[in-house]
Amino acid sequence: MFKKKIFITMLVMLFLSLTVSGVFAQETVKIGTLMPLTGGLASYGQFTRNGTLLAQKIINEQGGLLGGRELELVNVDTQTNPQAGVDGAQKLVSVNGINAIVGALSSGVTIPVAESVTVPGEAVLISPSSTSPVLTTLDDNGYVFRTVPSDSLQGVVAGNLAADLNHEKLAIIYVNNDYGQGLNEAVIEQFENRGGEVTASIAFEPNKVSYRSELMDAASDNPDALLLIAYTDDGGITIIRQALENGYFNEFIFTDGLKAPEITEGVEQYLEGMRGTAPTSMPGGQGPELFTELYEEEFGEIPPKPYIDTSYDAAFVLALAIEKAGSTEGPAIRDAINEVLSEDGMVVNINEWDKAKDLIEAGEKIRYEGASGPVIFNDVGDSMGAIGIWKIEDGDIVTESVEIQ
Amino acid sequence: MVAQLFLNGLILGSIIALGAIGLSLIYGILKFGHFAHGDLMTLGAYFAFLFKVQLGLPFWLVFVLAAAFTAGIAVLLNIILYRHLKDRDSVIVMISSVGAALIIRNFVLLFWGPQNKFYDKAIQMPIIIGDGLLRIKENQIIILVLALSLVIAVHLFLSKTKLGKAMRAMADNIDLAQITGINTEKVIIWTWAMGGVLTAAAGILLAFDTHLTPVMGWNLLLPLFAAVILGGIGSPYGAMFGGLVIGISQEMSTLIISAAYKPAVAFTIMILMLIIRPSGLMGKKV
Amino acid sequence: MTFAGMFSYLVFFLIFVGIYAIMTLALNIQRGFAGLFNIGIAGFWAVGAYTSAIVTKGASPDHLGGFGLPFILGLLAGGIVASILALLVGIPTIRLREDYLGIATIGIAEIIRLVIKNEAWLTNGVRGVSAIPKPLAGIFGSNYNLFFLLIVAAVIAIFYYLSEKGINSPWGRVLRAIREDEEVVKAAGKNVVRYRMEAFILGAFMMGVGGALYAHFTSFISPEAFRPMQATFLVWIMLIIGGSANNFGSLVGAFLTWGIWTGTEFLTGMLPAAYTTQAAAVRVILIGIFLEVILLSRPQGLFGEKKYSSKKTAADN
Repeated sequence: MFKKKIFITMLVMLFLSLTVSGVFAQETVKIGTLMPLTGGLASYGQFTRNGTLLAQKIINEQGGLLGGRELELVNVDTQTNPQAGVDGAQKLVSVNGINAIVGALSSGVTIPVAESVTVPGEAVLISPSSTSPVLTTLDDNGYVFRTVPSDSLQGVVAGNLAADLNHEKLAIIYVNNDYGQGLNEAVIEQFENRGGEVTASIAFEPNKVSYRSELMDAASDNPDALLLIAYTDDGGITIIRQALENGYFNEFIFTDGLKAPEITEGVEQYLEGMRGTAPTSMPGGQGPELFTELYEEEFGEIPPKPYIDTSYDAAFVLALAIEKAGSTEGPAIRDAINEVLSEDGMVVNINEWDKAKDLIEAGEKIRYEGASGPVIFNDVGDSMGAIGIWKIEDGDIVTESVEIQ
Repeated sequence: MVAQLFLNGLILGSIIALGAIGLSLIYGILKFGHFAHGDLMTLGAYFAFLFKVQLGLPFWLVFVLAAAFTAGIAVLLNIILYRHLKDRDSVIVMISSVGAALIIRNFVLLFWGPQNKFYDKAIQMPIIIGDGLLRIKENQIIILVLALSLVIAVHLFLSKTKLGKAMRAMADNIDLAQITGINTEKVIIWTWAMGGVLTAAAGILLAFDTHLTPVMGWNLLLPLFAAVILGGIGSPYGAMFGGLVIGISQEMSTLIISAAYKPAVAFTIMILMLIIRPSGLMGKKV
Repeated sequence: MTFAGMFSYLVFFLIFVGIYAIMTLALNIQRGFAGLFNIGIAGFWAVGAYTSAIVTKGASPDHLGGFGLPFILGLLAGGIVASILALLVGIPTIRLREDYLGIATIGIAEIIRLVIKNEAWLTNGVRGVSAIPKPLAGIFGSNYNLFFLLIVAAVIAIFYYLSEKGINSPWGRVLRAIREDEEVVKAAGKNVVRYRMEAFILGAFMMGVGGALYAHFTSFISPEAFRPMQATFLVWIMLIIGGSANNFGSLVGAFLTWGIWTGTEFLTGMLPAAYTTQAAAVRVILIGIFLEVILLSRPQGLFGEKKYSSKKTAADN
């Protein structure tokens, strides 16, 4: 009898949770989001997710998709870890039947998700932040896009920055994944082109308690500075602190994964004046300013972190493509993506969803002008873009200059 | 470089030693491997975080409270779980300790979150000895001094007090000890309490040296067991020695093998011990 | 969610139940029948998964590969390599006390994880092995998961049958006798260590196959896959809930435990996103407490040990 009771309780629980979770609810149009709410990029994920939520709000306020249906964002926490990301994407595609996904942030997650889930599953994936050069040549049947430029650009800017700061010898420590490796190679190439010498290039594994061995190796040939390619929470901050504490380095160049005020906590005086690189919005156009306004209205002050705007754009573009395709089938969405970004189309701004709907219905071409500037994908789904140089001033992050591709 | 590695090993070894003493005594007296010992270490460190950073109490009080609370949890675990299970299959009680480990670890995760935490936001610059030969932080000196004091305190307790001697007797041969009229129940409770205090201290020192993270203790569980087995189950002095050996070997191994395989060092030493001399260096014959 | 959605989810759910059931049947042989304490399950699983992935994929610049063997051979390879691992681990440790074996298995699982993480030439390290081929992928389209579920069910059926046969055989009787009283069996002249080793290896083989199935289903594995300690612990719960030394119990235990585990995921999934980690932690705490309660109140699980063939032996005599 004991066994029967457990069995029945279980079934009841299952049934209850299904009903409460809305099995019997209205039919929405779903877009998936793969965001790191925990793990190494946790300090970014919450905000990039807000970017997608803002797009959802605007779209639903202005009439929804495919004949008035609400846009629903189904989120999965990637935990900044490829396994969780892939498992989550698997569920989105094969169980929720979702064919349009924004994410992931880390290239280390996006690439396996693409290779193992979305490409074979014929779902469109737009990453707002994965910068690894690997994505350019990925065999993806046109199903993978990104609203951020490849690190082949950021690497050049970072290499130049190091050279312009008169460093002759540079040590690089990079996170051991596709992002870290790609950016590392791009930096080395440019820095050596400018006549500099890279004395050490060391991969590190995230979530270790101590990086003293890596730092010891990196500092061994007396380089002038450390260029750090890492995420904040699973190693970046630890490396910075241990580098300073143990006297290994006092000059740093940071990259996009570290553009967060959190890195200065407790060490402001040591990091004053240090610079870094990160993709940023293209100058000109009203998208970026408008975005900041709308974001702050909804969520409060916008942090100086990257990829919030590109997340908005990724979600919005997917929604536009679904509307244009008139369906939620993967191949149709994929084919519609570039049609909503036509060069000779009518301009649609980030808060003009209703205008876009009307134009699409009338069969007109449209061109979406994004929160990060004009959104243009080339034939392999890559974006043009701008790389900004940022600086730490009084424990805060400020933009110094912008380099454009 | 060798000197620096030795120093790093000494610090790590002291931490392992402190954790291993309690583990060894529990293993010797209660005859099972306590798989939640590493997570008790984590708990101690986080209790200290609560008292120091969240409540702002002075350091000495923080230490005492954290140790006391951890000891309390250890005793509680024994009363609620282990005492009832240990007379059955030894595997059952070990699995229950694995369960306890998971519960404690996730409790920490629940209350303090997964982000790394620090006792002190500011960083400390090291004292440099001999033109870069050795770098040591003030904190690390304090750690070594504290660890040494605790070890001396434990030694005095075990050799000079009645309770301490009873503990050693029970860990060595429980049947004989009972015949001599030792109050075994009381000794067991005190063993858990002491184990809790020492492992909490180890956790605090570890966090002091690096930082706090929910898996910090679990990651040291294997080195802890290795130290216990190396020194001989039931021998607190063996555990101290074993801890130092494991810590130093682990750090110095980076001279020969990749730093990534450091955890494998403790394991290898342990397996070798099990094959050659399972009773350990100072333990009785198994 | 529509009815189709619910059905999709059920199939997905059952595939995981199936893979865990295989792991539980395997642990049942090691622990239930032979009394061994293996807490390094994740290690054998990982070895099976990676071996199958490597031998079935084509050439890749990221990791060892290029063998392109068919799926079935992948499963077998996974099982065999896991067995070899069990042999190597068992040689120094099987003759020792069971708690030493336990500690040793944790160590082995850790070393395997380190090797997987660091020998990138072999496994692509932390980046994982992706695009692992699914058997007959093109043919079934959107019904693919159902097909895979059938594969898993077939494997379970085979292992269940073999396990039941084994336990009722003379070999199985000696094994159970060893668990009851080792000294008596030794006195009767049997090589206790050999029997234990055989049980250990058999169980490991099954774990390797289970791992391989997982790899082909998710198409991607990395050192983080299977969440080592959590998964190992879940399998132990499945065994204990079902009833140690009872194969049918193992199947039921897997179903119930995974059901409760995913059920709690559903519930916590409805919390706001900010509570994701806390929710996950709460789930683990609950399932941990659940295990302790079972251990304290009903350690024989739902079904207890099955009475095997005692009637037969009496009738034989």
